[in-house]
Amino acid sequence: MTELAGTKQYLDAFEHFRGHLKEEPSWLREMRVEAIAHFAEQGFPSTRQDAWRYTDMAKVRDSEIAFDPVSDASAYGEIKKFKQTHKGFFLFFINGQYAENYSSIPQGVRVLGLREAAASEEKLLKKYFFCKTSEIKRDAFEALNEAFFDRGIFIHVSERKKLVEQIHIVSIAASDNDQVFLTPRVLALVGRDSQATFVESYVAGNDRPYFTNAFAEIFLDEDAILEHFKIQQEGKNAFHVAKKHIRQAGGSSFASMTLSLGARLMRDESRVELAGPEAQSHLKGLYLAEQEQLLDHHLFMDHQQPSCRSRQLFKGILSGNSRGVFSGKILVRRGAQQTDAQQTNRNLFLSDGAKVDTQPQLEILADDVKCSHGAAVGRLEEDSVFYLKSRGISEKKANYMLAQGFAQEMIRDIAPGSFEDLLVRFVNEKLEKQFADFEDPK
Amino acid sequence: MLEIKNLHVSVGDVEILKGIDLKVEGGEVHAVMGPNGSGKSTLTRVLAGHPAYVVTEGHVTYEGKNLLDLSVEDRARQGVFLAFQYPIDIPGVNNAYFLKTAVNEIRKAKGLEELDAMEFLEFLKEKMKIVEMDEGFLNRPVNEGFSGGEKKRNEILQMAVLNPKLAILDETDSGLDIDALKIVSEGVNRLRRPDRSIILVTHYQRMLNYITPDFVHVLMGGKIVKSGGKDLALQLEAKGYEWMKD
Repeated sequence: MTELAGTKQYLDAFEHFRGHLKEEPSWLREMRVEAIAHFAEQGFPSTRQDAWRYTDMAKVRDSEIAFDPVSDASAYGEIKKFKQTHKGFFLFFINGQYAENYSSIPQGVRVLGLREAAASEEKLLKKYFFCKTSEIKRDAFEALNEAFFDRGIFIHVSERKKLVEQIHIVSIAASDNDQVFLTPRVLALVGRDSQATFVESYVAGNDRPYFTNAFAEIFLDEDAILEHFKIQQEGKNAFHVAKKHIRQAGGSSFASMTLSLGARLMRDESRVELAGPEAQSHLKGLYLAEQEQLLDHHLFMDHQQPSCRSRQLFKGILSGNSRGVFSGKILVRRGAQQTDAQQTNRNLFLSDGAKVDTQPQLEILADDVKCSHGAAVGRLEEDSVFYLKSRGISEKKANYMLAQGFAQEMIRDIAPGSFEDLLVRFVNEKLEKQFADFEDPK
Repeated sequence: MLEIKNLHVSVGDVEILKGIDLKVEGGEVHAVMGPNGSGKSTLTRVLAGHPAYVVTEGHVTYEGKNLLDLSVEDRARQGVFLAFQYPIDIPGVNNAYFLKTAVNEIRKAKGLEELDAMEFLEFLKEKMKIVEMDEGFLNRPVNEGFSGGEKKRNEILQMAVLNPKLAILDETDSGLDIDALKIVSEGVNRLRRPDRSIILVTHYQRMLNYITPDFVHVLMGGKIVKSGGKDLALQLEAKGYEWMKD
């Protein structure tokens, strides 16, 4: 039998890896075997598939992977740096594996290694996670994460626990060899009527190429409130594929901000199931791409129950020859009456070489709903640039200020002051890079 | 300080200004009046350097230099200021940051040291009194959600802060109620100086009740058809523009 393109190295590595899984409960091992079989069968996605038509994964498929990261001391520097600049509690992943020794856990929250949780919390895990239905099929990347994740975590926020401090979930890539494969995995159960903030960050200790393939499942129980930030600052040579599956019970509220800055190629997918009435989901995102970067966001908002409200607002700034992809789907199922759903995607080009593919998809099967979507792409308004220049501000600075305003609108007043300042700094640093080779259009 | 000679300006294929002549000396206030569509706003934007307008003929000399050769930002740095008829919203950029950047870019161009945040704030608060603006304005995004009156006051605040030699006010009175008109006009009066010239473009005479011009010009069909003293504005107010057509 011949393998599908790019799959052989993963299949071989899994044969080796499964030998180390004897300690795992059998149900988990069986799931991994099923996942790798699924991957073997379907292989990597191609641009002929609708969901991948704008994002060619051939470079990822054809990269020779190192399955054993060689630890690199820069990870510890990153941990130190991270703790100095952020406040709250910290759960660190080093090269895709949870590093318990460096982590801190607030009261009212349990954090277990997934292997341990699979044994002691089998019922709970099976009830809330690993859900596969005929509709939700694993794609290649999800299957690979499931087959290979090692030392993932299960986070459980207790019922009625109101947590003010942020919980940082930090993935640090720091390996002394090229092209390592990192598979962080997080399951989170946010208990009934509880409140928490997760900040998911991706950083790198060096500029080596690597491949992050992250997967997270989050369940919000009734009336739970979760704020979620994802700050993607992977190394400039990294591939980053991340998938998040969020399920919300009735009355729960999820608000997320995705800030995508790093990696040479990124695919970020969020699937939200509004699985109980009166749930709310607000997804915001900001992506800043430069040079040859490709940043792809795919959202799927699944309204299953009545009286839910969802918002998607994603903005992008693109310079050089970079590319953006935005695909936002809103599905309103038959019973989901009185749905209120909106989606907006706006893109700002700083160069003629930048490109964006934006694709809204609405599928509405209920009749009493309020749904809207809008997309915009283009350069800065001539009149706005003129206004600033007429005050003595240079062409470059005027463009910079307008782009900064376009970006900062997204991150103002969504987080505590010091964290907001940090986000502003990250955005400004990236904008500086985007403007480094800004040419006066005159 | 400003001399416009036989200025012809087009947008696309349409000629809007058809030979304007206007001379403004230091410290003078010139009112340019005219019906809608006469080319008043075009004249102001050409002087500020808006890229959509093409000068097909004529000259503009400002302090001995060819103004039309200068970039938009260089005109501003050399003392030309345009108060917009429709000030532009700049979402996400707060007013104080915008004003500070403008002041410092101009200072830099003049070889002066840039003001730091504290120095600037002190300077700005002083200027805000001129148009009776409160500090709440400073942290709001530029013009976003401003009322018509607030936008125009914000324009005059910018004039106060940027300290121009030639201020061109494009229908600064439009969209203002009586109280706002008074505040804005008094702001402009406080900014009158022997070495600062003002071109005040307006459709109505009412702003000239507060700001007394030295000269009044009537712009119709892309040309200045009549010039005179401040009495000309009163005549226009009484008779309208129609009688001039012949």
